[in-house]
Amino acid sequence: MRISTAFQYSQYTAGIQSTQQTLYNDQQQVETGKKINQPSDDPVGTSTIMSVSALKSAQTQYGTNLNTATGWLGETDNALSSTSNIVQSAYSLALQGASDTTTQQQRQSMASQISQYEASLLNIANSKSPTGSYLFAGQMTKTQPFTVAGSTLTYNGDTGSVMVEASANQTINVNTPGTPLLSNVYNQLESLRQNLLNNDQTAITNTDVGNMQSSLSAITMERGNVGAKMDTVKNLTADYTRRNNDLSTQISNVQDVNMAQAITDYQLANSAYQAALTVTSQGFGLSLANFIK
Amino acid sequence: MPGLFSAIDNMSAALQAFQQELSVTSNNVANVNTPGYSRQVAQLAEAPTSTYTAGAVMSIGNGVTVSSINRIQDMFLQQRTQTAASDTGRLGTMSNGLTAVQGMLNEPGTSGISDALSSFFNAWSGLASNPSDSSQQLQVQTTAQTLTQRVQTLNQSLNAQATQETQTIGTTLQSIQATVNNIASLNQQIHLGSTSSSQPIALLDQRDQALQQLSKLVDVQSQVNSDGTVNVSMNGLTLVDQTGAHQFPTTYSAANSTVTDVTGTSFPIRSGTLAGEFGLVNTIGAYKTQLDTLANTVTSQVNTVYATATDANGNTNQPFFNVTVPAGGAGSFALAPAIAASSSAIATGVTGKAADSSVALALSQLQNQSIAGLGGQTIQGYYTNFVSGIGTQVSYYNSQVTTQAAISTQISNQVQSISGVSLDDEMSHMLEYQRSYQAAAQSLSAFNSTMDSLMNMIK
Repeated sequence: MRISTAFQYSQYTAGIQSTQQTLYNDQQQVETGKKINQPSDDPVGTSTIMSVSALKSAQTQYGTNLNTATGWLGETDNALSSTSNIVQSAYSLALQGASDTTTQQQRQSMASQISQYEASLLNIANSKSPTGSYLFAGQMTKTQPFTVAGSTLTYNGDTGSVMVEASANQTINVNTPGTPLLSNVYNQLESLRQNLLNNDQTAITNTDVGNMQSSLSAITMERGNVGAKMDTVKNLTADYTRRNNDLSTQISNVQDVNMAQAITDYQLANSAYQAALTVTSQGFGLSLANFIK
Repeated sequence: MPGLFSAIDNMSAALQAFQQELSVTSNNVANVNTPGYSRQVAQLAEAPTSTYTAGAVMSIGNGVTVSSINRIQDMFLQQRTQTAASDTGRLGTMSNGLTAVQGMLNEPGTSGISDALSSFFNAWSGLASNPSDSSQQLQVQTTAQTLTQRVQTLNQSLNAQATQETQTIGTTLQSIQATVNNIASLNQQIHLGSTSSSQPIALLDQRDQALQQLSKLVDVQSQVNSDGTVNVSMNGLTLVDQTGAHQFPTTYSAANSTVTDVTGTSFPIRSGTLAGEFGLVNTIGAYKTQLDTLANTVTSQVNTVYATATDANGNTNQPFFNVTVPAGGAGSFALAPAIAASSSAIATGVTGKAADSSVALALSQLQNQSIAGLGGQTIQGYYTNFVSGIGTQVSYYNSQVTTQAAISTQISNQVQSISGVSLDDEMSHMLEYQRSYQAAAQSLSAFNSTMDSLMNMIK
């Protein structure tokens, strides 16, 4: 093939440009650490990155939601634990109140102790979460759930569920409505208090002792329920942490460059570029004109 | 019988011929960097012989003449160069335009619409799990605003790009007409400058350059006439003929990739930058439609669910995203005024109770629903496909441009191989002509001394 001067020089330029382009691409990969900087770099990979990123960000959100669930369940469990202690103490008083050796005066003083328990219970039943929601008001979290007028307890909440989205198709009910559990406990304390005041040993023996036992077991049962949910939440949280790591790895596999490979490629491109420069600079010196004297 | 003077005439003709060869060589050297220049050669021919009778009829040479100066060219390669220029024009325009569009997406990453969609639905998930938390309401409002802004920004960028392409089409149409006129006027000069044996080579080169330029803009076909002029047409539309330049239509349809002349006849545009610009206008239009579909779908899907919610003031059937009739697409994708004004207006449940999060939950779950209006895809899936579709297009046109560049280089190499000036070639020619010239001059000097001897006899 006949080689024209312009062709020769344009080949030099083309050689330098193409090796420079390769060098630049490899350099960019090493610098950003990413194979995919724009969709056209790998359309299918881009689609994978976007889908997996969306999934990962949803899971991160579910993880945050689970923190909320942990908060609700933990606070509920604390409150129920305190309630359980109160009922435990009330149960001891009921046993004492049922005893033949207990005097009327002692029962009077027990009654005033029970009214303190009632006040504590009311306090617990109206407790709020750190974000200002009433724990035991059902869905009416902005309404104080319990009010007392004389010896009558009124529940202003509802029996609605407070839900937390735990995954794409799983919600966890994190609240315990104040009614029936806490209302019953309160009313039973009130009954005990009345019977103590009235020095009604028979009623205490026949009703209140049993009531306290059933209250205790109801609370224990609910705590078991809450505990089971906390377990679920704990497992899900661990699961999300693990799966988010997996998803990060998956994104990294598609998006990130293999550094060893990238650096080797870069060195290779560098050598090719230098070779192109050398060839060009030597070619520049070659001309028949130099040899015609 | 030829005399001694005929030998002197021969040598004088030879000197002239070699001088011309040298001047052609010098012209080649001078134009080594001139684009579109085809190297020239002086064609030498033996001068007509004389006959005389000296016993028998003899024939004796009369030296050399320059019969013509030709440019070295391959017509077939010229045609291929034109076709390649058209394809390069179209593919390059598509590739550049779509790469610009791709840049507007900011994908993959955290500053694109995909991330905004995720954040928006996640904010609903967060609100669903903390319905009475005002910071979660704020989160929903903020992420929704980010989503609408990003969609609107992309829409504006696409509009700006489409407007720019439309302006470019206008400029291209003007360039086409100017080049057509240029070719016609060069044709005229070539016609005037042509004789039976020679053609104005410089004008031919210029005309070929102009034709090359025109091919880059639009796919034209050319036909060379005997006087060196060309007829140019574009898929049946005559642009240049013996009568001069014709009007290139300015009425066009980007959707059909055609131009329509005054008589209403349409002519297809298949290649060249004009075809690329038509293609871009269409493609960007299609992308805008997809973005509109996304905005309209998000608006209607979210609003349908949100309409069941009861807000803190007991209002129900409220919009979340602004509703326009008919649906205004990406350009009018915005929050409903009440939502934009205050995040506390955002409702979470059907009943309006503080911790009723049924609606927020349904909106969070919307992200996993396949939607008939989006071809059974999820909202996020639809957008992901949109982005990877653009990526595929850009990648396709980039690789086409690379392939086309290789083809163009190959053709240009062939053209260069035939028509390009090689300085080494010219140097060796120069030496050859120089030596020939020296020999002729020496001969002339020898005849001169022969003549001297003759003259001295007379003294």
